[in-house]
Amino acid sequence: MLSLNRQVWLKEWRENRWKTIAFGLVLVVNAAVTAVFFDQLTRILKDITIPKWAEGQLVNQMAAYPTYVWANWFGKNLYQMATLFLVLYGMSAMASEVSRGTSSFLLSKPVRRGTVLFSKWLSSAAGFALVTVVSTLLLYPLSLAAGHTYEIGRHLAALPMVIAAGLVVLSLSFVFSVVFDDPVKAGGAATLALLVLSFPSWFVKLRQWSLFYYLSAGPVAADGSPHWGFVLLMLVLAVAVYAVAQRLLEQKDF
Amino acid sequence: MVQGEKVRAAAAAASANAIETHGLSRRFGATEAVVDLDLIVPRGSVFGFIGPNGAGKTTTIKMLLGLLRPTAGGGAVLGHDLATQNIAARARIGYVAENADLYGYMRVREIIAFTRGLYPRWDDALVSRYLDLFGLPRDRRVKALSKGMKAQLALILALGPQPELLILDEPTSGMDPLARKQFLSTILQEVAAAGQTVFMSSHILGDVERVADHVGLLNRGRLVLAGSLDQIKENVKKIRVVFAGEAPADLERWPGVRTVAREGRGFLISVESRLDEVRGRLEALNPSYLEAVDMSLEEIFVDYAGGERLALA
Repeated sequence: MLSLNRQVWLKEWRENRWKTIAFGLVLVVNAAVTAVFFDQLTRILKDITIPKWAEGQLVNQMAAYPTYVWANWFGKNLYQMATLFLVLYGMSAMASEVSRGTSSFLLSKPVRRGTVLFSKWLSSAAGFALVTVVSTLLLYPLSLAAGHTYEIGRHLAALPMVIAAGLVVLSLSFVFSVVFDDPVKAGGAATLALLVLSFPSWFVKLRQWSLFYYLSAGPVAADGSPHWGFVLLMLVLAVAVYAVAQRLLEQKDF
Repeated sequence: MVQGEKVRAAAAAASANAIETHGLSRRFGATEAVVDLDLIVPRGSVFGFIGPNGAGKTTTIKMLLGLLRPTAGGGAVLGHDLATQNIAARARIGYVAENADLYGYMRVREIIAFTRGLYPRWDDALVSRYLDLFGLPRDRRVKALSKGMKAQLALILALGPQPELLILDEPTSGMDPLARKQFLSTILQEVAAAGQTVFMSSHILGDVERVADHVGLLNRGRLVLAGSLDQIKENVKKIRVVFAGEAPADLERWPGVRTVAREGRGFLISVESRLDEVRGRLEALNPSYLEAVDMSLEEIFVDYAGGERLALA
């Protein structure tokens, strides 16, 4: 049963606050740079010779602001930064309690291990979702200020899928944070696992089997529909991977 | 509360012993950390759980708290089954871990508020009184406290939920003598006097002798001696004897004789439980000298722990 402990949730929120602030700042700066530099990039591309192999993709991306902003935001910046910060959130969840010696203090309290883990997970998930939504929304007024516009509904439709796929990454990082007692090892193992999971995205025909296809809102890019079926699939995956982390924690000796 | 929970709660409240274990064991690979432990800690007692470093004291405590799963055996804490009712037991236990590791970034008042939120009941007045008693600054960060102050804070956090059982794992190791004395005085005057049970592991025998009324001696994972301190001191003695003639060849195998050591012209015999019987048999041999000698806890410890190197206070 999933239950939340407010004190653990708040503690985790506090411990993660600098990560959340850094994640937010990086994305806000990214959003500003994305909006402001479209005109400059367009001018630069006219003045330089583009290699043949990059020409097609680059010309397509830069043809119009909506394509450019989607490719840079969902197709690159957001999912890359989200992956990095989700690993950072997850890797220290339990491993840091062990490495700094506070696991005995925390787990000797009359709170179920599952409640402790879920409170930590929910706190990280809330930080990730908040920054993702706020920075994606902020991209719109920044674009307007830079003299460009795009269909914001398409971006809003992508958010549930990005967040749901992000929760899978977070849950995976939690698994390794339970397995390893050292946050660095947990982060390394999570990164390695994600690298393996990214393998299908290197091939066009296999990309729908990659988690990162959904983290970059791949299905939404095609038609602007939220694709709730895929969102649900990602949520089920996130819950299943989280359940593994909880099971491992309940069996672990401290 | 459903009927089953009511029955369990009533049974737990009525339990005569604070801790009972039966065949409790824990292995780490090929190493047997705790072996077949049958431990009884009466309610209201101050129980000194002593043993050399690596004897299995912390492993036992972690099993009692549900931090480690036993590989065999089981037991109950405050009447709650170790395997199935650990959360209910923990609500009634205060625990101070060996290194008293707390969240260093929190201020004293913040870690108190955090811990308070994890328990169903909390005594703010008691916590405030102890903060003043120990002189702990409420706004100082935990990481800026001395080791002794951290241990005092850990004790306050353990006492806040008004526990029926206080489990202390090597609480005074690393403290200066003054801080140790204050810490132990608090346990004696405040906690034990209130009828709470204290289960304190230590290899500092002076501390245990100062506060405990019951002791259990763990050596290489096995409980080699347990009972009330007075009873143990009464039952475990040494007899210094000088025989007029030859010593009996089977002396070491006499019932009640634990060890026999040659001491100059005589022998120092360690006796357990059957002092009068052994003494009577020795007197029947008309020795030239015979004297029963009381043993300190330290001597008993050394005798039972097989000469392990000890940290003596």
